[in-house]
Amino acid sequence: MVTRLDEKNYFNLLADKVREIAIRPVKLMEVCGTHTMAIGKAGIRRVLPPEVELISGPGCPVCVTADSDIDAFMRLAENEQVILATYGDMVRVPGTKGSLAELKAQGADVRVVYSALEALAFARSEAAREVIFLGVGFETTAPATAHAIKIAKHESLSNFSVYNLHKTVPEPLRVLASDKTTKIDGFILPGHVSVIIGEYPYYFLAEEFGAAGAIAGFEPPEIMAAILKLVKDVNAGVPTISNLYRKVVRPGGNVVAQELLDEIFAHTDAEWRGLGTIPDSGLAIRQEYGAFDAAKKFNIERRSVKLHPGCRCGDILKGIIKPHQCPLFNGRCTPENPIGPCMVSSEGTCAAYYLYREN
Amino acid sequence: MCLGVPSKVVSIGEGHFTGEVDVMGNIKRVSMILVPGAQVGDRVLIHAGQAISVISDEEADASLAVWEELIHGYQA
Ligand code: SF4
Repeated sequence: MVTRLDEKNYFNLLADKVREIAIRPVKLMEVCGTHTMAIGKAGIRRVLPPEVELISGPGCPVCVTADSDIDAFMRLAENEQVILATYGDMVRVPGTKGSLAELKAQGADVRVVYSALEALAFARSEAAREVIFLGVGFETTAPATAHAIKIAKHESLSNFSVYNLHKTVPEPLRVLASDKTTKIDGFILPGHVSVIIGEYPYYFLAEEFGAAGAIAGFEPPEIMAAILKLVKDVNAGVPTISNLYRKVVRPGGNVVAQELLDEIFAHTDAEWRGLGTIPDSGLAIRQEYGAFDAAKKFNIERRSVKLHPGCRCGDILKGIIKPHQCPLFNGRCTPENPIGPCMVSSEGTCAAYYLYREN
Repeated sequence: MCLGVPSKVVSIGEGHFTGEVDVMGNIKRVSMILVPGAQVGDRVLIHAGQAISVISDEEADASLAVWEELIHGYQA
């Protein structure tokens, strides 16, 4: 058993070693929003030497949702026939006419769920109404949505559908790795996405772009170990992809989950806040399951809108600026009164920096 | 929505579709379809109502050796 005391000791020892060996500037990106939060909470930026810079990446599903998609699901929620089920983080995202929470206060039926599977239960018990689940998230939440769609087909539930915004992680990493303006030396790779996809989908980072990668857990020493490994790789000039979260991440990932995703979804281009349209980075519901695709069922068109003028969330997601460089940060934009999605989500970079007073 | 929660499997339903897990004293029913190898007593990682991985205690303990190697290994 690794005890709390071990963890604290090792955190300090690992941090000491990072300070000892950091000899030149190293730019690392923590891809995942849950890592951003954990890094803030553990005060990791404060103990790193000045040579090691940690920038926060696009791994917060709420934050990367495009304005056009927010606008589209808000329109769905306005329909009186509709029960819109979604994860808690989505209900406070500001849209053109306020957030889902505000629509709910005006009478819309918006329900917070922990899983797509819960939304199915509403569809069974309220047959006269349409239950639409907002499918957001990466490879970690997508299997639950896929499973719900599969069950809905099996049970011939005609009043269940998904407004599907699921996205995948490796494709935006390719965009970030090939960006010459923010040259990233290494990536702290998302632990739970990796549970599903495994190690192999990241190999291109090292092979094609010379960037190192380390799959990391979420405890402070686990994150610090990943940072140390990345700094070592960069120093040695041998970028590798390492798995430091072996207790749950198998090299090939979760094959059952991969097969389920493949059965229900096909890769498609998707729009990301800040990063634009990224080829093959979205999961679209396959033709055979088209009856459960809310966008098709309700003929929802995505129109181009700009919801938050002044919000720099997009630049933050690419690691170009830090939250305090946004003029609205901690003034007009706070977690109580968020202007942009990076402040709304409990995994958002602006929210993390606000909460843990980071610079 | 992205938080993964470790928990212990207390029962597995027929056909291994669902199971009950103990999350810090609360019993919750979750989908077990993604962890066909999971058994009662195993610790699993829960995400969005699904168990997505069986936690390997050997690998968890091996982390200490990995950290040692990172701290004391000769490669700088
Ligand atoms: S502080 Fe608010 S307005 Fe500024 S980038 Fe972050 S979310 Fe957008």
